[in-house]
Amino acid sequence: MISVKALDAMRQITTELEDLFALLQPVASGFARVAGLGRPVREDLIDLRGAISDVVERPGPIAGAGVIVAPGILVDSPYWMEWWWAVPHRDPEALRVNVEPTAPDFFDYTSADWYAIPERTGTRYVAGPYVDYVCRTEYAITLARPVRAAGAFVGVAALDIAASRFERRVLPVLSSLPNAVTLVNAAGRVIVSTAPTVWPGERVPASAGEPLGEASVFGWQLIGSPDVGE
Amino acid sequence: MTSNRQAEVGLTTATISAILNADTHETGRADQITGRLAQAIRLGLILDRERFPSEADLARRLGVAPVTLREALATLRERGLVVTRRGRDGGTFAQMPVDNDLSLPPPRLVEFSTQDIRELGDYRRAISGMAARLAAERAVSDEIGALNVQFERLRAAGNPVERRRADAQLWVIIAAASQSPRLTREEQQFRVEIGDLLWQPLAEDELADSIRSRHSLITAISDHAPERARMRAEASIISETNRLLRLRVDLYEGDNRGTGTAGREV
Repeated sequence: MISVKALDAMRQITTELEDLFALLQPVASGFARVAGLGRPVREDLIDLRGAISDVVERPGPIAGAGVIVAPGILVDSPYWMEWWWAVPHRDPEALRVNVEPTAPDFFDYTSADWYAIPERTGTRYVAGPYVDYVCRTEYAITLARPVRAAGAFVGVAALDIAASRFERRVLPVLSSLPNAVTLVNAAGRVIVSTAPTVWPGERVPASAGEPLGEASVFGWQLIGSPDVGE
Repeated sequence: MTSNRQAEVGLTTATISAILNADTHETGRADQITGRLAQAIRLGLILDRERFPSEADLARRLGVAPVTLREALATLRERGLVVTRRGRDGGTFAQMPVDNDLSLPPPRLVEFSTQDIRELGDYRRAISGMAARLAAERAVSDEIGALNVQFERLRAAGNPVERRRADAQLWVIIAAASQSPRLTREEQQFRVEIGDLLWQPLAEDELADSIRSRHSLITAISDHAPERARMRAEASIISETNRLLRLRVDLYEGDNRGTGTAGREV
């Protein structure tokens, strides 16, 4: 059964995500320009830092932003993340991960869903929530979009939002619905729920109910018991 | 911002924050930073011959005054844990101590009583055992995929230092799959605080056992079997605790024969 109110709530949530994705546009076009240079090197990505800090330093839920470069694009570095994260009361800081493929703690981002899915599908993707153990070790949601230069995939532009900050925008909308609802991501994980027995981060339990309408463009879905009054 | 390639590998954001959060007993800011950096170098978290960022940059990232960092680096230089070279390709570089003989018990083990070692096992069972349990409940297919990839890295690791790093990372990924940042941070801090005790080089048969036990743990998580995952994690920790206790008792025995640890500096 499709609940009109739930559809409306889902639309609001999707708009929140769309607004966040819009912020990535300057980062993505800057990255496409750099990647389109002949034989780009890591230093060339310095040009993106202004656009990236504009995103990271923006007041609101954003915890980090940057570009994740497809292997082999940069001449001097097979793997690279030009990623900056927000440090409270200080300037954003560059993320450092082990990008050496033979290392025992190599961070192989090509298998992370926020990289692999935009690469495979050519479309935007919202990953998480998940524990971001390479950066802030906080609960995060990643919005990622593919970037192409001369028709070829060159990596993704992405931003992280703190799950707790995102909840503050979403739960007021969901809690105004007549029945308890649970927002679930494409992987089947509970993002937030207004049912006290359905916990964020869990795999969605059967008790959470049934889909209230189609999944959103990002694969997110509201589930719950249908509003019989409609 | 340095763009030196070597600098990007060991001194990662995660290592820096584990260094910052680690609970050490040293008092005084310079001593704390010295102790943590020394530990991170001995553990191979900062790689042998890895170039440090500029003093100003590293001081900022560690949240200490440049003068404090300079003091810490001077101590590390005296202890032979870093070298500083002048010139165009100069800078400060980590240096794995030559006496870092991984076949010996960790030098720090003499600081721990058998009760301390048991206590450490209790604490790890609470953290890592619970993390494994929650990971089995909550992990989605991507996270299970990441665990399997990391397990393959552990299996492929060619030497004790690499194995230590691969195994530490495996436990961090398990903790992350529990969906708890707090448990994950605890696991990351174990690496710096007690990594030298936890990830001891193993004899061939012990190594095979340890790889098998990691495999069964990851299988339990993939099967979404929380109780089994917790039991497997705890069983690993218990066997590591037994091993440490055996090593510790051997050191006491050495003391008694007068050939042991007396006079051995940490």
